[in-house]
Amino acid sequence: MTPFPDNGGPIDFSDVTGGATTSGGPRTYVVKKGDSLSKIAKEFYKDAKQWKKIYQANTDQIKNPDLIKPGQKLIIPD
Amino acid sequence: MKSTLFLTLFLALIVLVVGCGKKEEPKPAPPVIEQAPPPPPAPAVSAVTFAKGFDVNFTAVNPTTTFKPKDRVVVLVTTDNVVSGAMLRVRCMYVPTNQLVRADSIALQQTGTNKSQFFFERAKGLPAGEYKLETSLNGTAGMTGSFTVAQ
Repeated sequence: MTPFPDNGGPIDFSDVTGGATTSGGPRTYVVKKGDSLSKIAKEFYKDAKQWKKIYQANTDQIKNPDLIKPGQKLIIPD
Repeated sequence: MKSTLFLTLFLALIVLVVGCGKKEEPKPAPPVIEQAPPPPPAPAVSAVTFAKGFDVNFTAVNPTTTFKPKDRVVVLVTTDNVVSGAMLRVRCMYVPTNQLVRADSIALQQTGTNKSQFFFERAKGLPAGEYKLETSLNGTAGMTGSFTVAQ
């Protein structure tokens, strides 16, 4: 945890990362530390076995389905 | 005498015919008051939900308002009565120092109801404390929400 500064001074939030998606547009997901395709599939589809669906939609940037990197922006197909 | 009687009867007949032929003026129709159609419902942010994830239907997974410093904070925003292209913006403020943590915006894709997802996280951990989230739709302030980061 980052403690609240003792001096009450300002905090540098420039390293906060984020993103946005909306219904009707392409659904995306930004990989975070500790993610795997099956974990993402379980979150989106409630079924970890659907990981191939995500992999196939992102073969341009995923060469090894066991290796995804934090910060990668994946397309989540319907 | 006889001619006077005929004249009288003739005049009476004319009066009678003219009188009977006189029609009453039609009453003017009541003015039609045209009612303006009700204005379309205003676009609005109808829900703000905090969660640790979301599914394909943009439904919150593990909804909560308390996060750990290294959690990904997911914000699901529902907007109604919008026209495609409307701009939804969110700003996250750190309450203890009133600092902007992050701001994001997205153009809504659908006319009607949209569900949108914003997220933010900090690799070295968000500082503990209260955070406030403000939304705006096409520049008009919308619903707000708050969450807490605690160890």
